[in-house]
Amino acid sequence: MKRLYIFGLVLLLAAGCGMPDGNSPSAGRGPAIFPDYAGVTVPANIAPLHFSVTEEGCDGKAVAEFSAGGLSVTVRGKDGAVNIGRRPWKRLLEAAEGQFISVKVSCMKGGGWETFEPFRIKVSEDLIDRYLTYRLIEPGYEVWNEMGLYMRDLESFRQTPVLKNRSTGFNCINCHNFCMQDASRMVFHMRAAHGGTYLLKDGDFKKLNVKTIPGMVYPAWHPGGRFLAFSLNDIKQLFHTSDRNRVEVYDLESDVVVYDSETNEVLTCPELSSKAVFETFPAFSPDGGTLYYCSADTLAMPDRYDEVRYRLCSIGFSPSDRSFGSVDTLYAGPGSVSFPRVSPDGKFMLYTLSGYGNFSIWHQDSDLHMIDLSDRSREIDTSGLNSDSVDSYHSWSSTSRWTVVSSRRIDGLYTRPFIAHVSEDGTVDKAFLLPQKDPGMYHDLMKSFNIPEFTRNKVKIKDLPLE
Amino acid sequence: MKKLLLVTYWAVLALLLFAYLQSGGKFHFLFMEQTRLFVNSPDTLLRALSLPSGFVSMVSDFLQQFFFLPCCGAAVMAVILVATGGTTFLALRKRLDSELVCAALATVPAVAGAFILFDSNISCAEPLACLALALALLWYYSLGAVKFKALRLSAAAALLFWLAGAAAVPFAVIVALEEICARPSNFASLIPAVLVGALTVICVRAQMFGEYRDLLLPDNFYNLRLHPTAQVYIAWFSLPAVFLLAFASRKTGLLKGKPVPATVFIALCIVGGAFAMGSKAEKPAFYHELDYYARNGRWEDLLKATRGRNERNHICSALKNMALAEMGQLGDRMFSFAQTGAEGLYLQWKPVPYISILLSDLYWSMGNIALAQKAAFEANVSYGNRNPRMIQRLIDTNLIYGQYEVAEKYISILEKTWRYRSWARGRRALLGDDDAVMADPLLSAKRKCIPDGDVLSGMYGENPTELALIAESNPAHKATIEYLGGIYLLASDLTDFMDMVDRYYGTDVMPTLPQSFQEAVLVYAEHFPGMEEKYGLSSDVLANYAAFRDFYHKNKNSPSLQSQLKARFGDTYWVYFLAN
Repeated sequence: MKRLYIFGLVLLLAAGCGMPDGNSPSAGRGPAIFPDYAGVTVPANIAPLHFSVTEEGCDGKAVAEFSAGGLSVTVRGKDGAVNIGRRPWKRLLEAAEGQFISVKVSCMKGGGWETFEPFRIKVSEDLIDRYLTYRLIEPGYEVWNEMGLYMRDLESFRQTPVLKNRSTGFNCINCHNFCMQDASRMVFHMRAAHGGTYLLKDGDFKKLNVKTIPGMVYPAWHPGGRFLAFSLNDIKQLFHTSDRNRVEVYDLESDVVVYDSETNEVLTCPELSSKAVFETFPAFSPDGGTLYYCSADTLAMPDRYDEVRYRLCSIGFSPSDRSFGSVDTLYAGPGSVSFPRVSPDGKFMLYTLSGYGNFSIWHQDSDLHMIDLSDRSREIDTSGLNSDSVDSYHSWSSTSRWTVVSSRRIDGLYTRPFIAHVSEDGTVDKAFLLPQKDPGMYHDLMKSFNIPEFTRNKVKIKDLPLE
Repeated sequence: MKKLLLVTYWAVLALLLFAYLQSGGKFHFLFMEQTRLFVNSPDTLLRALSLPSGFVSMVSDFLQQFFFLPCCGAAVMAVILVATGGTTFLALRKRLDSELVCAALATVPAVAGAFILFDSNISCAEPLACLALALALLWYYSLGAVKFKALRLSAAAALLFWLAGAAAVPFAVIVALEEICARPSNFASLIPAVLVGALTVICVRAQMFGEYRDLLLPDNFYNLRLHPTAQVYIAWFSLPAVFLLAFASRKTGLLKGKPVPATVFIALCIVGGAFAMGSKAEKPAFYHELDYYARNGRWEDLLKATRGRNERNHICSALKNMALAEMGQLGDRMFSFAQTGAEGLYLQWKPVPYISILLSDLYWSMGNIALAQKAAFEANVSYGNRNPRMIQRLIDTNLIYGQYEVAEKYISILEKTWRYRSWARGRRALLGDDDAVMADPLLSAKRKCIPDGDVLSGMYGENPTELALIAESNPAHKATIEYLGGIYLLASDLTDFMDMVDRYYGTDVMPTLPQSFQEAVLVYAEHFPGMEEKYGLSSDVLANYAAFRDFYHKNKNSPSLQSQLKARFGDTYWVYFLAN
């Protein structure tokens, strides 16, 4: 009798620890997972998409069956975590290049397996730039503590520090920018200790003389590498008492200038430095002949903060004689434009649109919009990039086939990088959250991923000219 | 017998250190619990262990989470210090003959370590690193002649470097000194020192640490934004110093055969050093005590503790006023304490962590949820996102605003802690459920404080406009209107004060006038006789004011008028108004 009990117990355990079979009841829908990778498009060189099954009632045991092109990989999950190994993931990517990986998830509920409808992950043949550089910082207001620039290898989970403020007197490091996704040409600012603008070019760091160019904020490299556009902003902030946008950041004044790194001169023109207009967020076209920027009529601030509407404008720029051309308005509402960025192939302009103002990262209604620069009247669907929450800062990969956007869609406050595929015709696929070894880190991490920027090569900072 | 004597000695020292730490640092250790939230998750532990000295930091944080228990902080630290002393004694015994001298020398680091613990910038990981160093040296002195000694010592130095960071530096130096002196040609004994140096360079280049001093000196155990005080360095180097003294004594016979005079000399050094260090070390801040009362809602204790102390200090004043507001007595009793002006009611923002905490509390009391949230966020950032009370405030303010996703993020963090888990689970039950939030007395009272219309804080000057909106939004939140009136009174702005009274008196916001407000109305009525009749002033206030006027007119030429008024009418607005 005792043996029978033991046999029964073994059978029970075997059933509990086993795998779902074809008879497992189907939920008739896709599984609840975090991050939501259902229906996304990923590059063929991306790190494994680890995810957690977040189904209510799931006791932690989960099984995921990945299949593509006749290849099938089964992954057992503990505590709901489905972490596919790097090698099987790579084989799956190879098998599915240009096609789909199908993922069938089952989870243990109340002692039995429940199986969900498979979801698909499209594997694009378009490779993504290998590195993504961002700043990790709390989404705070006036106080900061530890922060730093970090570089993530998108083909693995490796994140390495580029520059931490522990090494620079706990100052503020901000607004990093690269020239055409080339990490050997970089610019960033530091505030407080060692304050100034630092330019990396031809392997050497140079600190710009900020006394002659005060208040430089948003940078943009000219593709030739000689010029950089900067906005000069007098930025203030105030706090809402009841609005869901917690803080209001606005400019009292702003202009755009172009800095010539060879002559150490600053260039501008009346159209970029008018007192009657706020000009900000410069961005050069890939051919270097056009400088895009945002402009709004100057209003009394902060009283009329919610009436400010930024237009998307451009002005011709001739690097050879350092002259400016005429102004063109690409978009003038409804809404207010920020962060215009042209795809490196020159075909598309991606920008952020919110109800008013320019600090869209604090505006819950911020969304990404795209213009086909060869046919401005064409409306491009960017819903794959957007969410109900903030979708704001963005940048392009060097191939123009991928874009990354800072979004607050997970918890409404901490920005996370979402990457989306943009096809040659401008079709924007559903964005996927930057994969992590443990996706739960997005819930635990108390810092935002700020200013994500792709680079083709590794960012190396050494011999920073600190005083 | 000797053994019993030694055990007794260390036990007595432990008791003395405990008594010293508890008497001087009762509130300091309670405050320290608030600065390093210990999140019990494998990820956190792995992250800590991935860095040099991460182990001692993790153990320190683990222990610090229990410092909220009475006497726990002092007891834990006394045990660590005495363990360091005892281990040092055992190690020294391997090199010196006299137990008396060994005990005297080993007492030095134990006592010196105690005198820096009231500095809130020092981490409890520092004494743990000292203990690790003492243990490593005990192991070394017990090693004897073994095979592959240089290899073993190198492995030990590397391990110590990883476990306790800078502790590996004096270890490697002492080992090199001992080994080279024992056998001058033994260059292999320099390998541990070279290895520690190389590891230091690698860690700094890899940006695990900001500066070399973080790994060569005890700086990593101090607030990284600051440089440690001289006392911290003295305490840190006292441990290797006694080993170096023992080493010198063995070589030169410095202490040999003179145990009593040597011990007396060391004892005098300890007493002198302790006196010098103790007098210079940061005393347990008065603020820690007040913060303890504030975070536990012990308002009467807070008022008692501040009576007659730090009367010209804005922080102290702000805390007293907050206590009165929380007790619903700000409008009645605010002048029963010395006031330091409007800033003593409504502190100016400064980028200082404890000011941010205090501001969050002040705004919370006022009913300004937006600014309470902002200040809590900044305070938490300043403490490396590890201040449990500010995380609780962030949870509550996000629940109040209905921002449940981010509230859940913070809740899940506190659920991974031992002390705050049950509180967090209680809050989890409110997620996504507006009715449940409104059923919670505290959260519903504060949610009602959110004004219907939105304004930008500070857009139209300082707080008054917002406070008026909050008071109108939630008339039952008495503290708001009392803060608003208090700001006008402390700024001696009776015109705006009377506008406020005329607007709200007799409404739900201010059905009756609190005592201090009545006193202010009488001052204003000096220029508009008869107007006081419409505000229902109490007969006691009227009689007291008559006495005040009478006294004032009789003594107005007296050189000591101010002090006499203060003595007789010091708890009224009239004296404050005259002086300001």
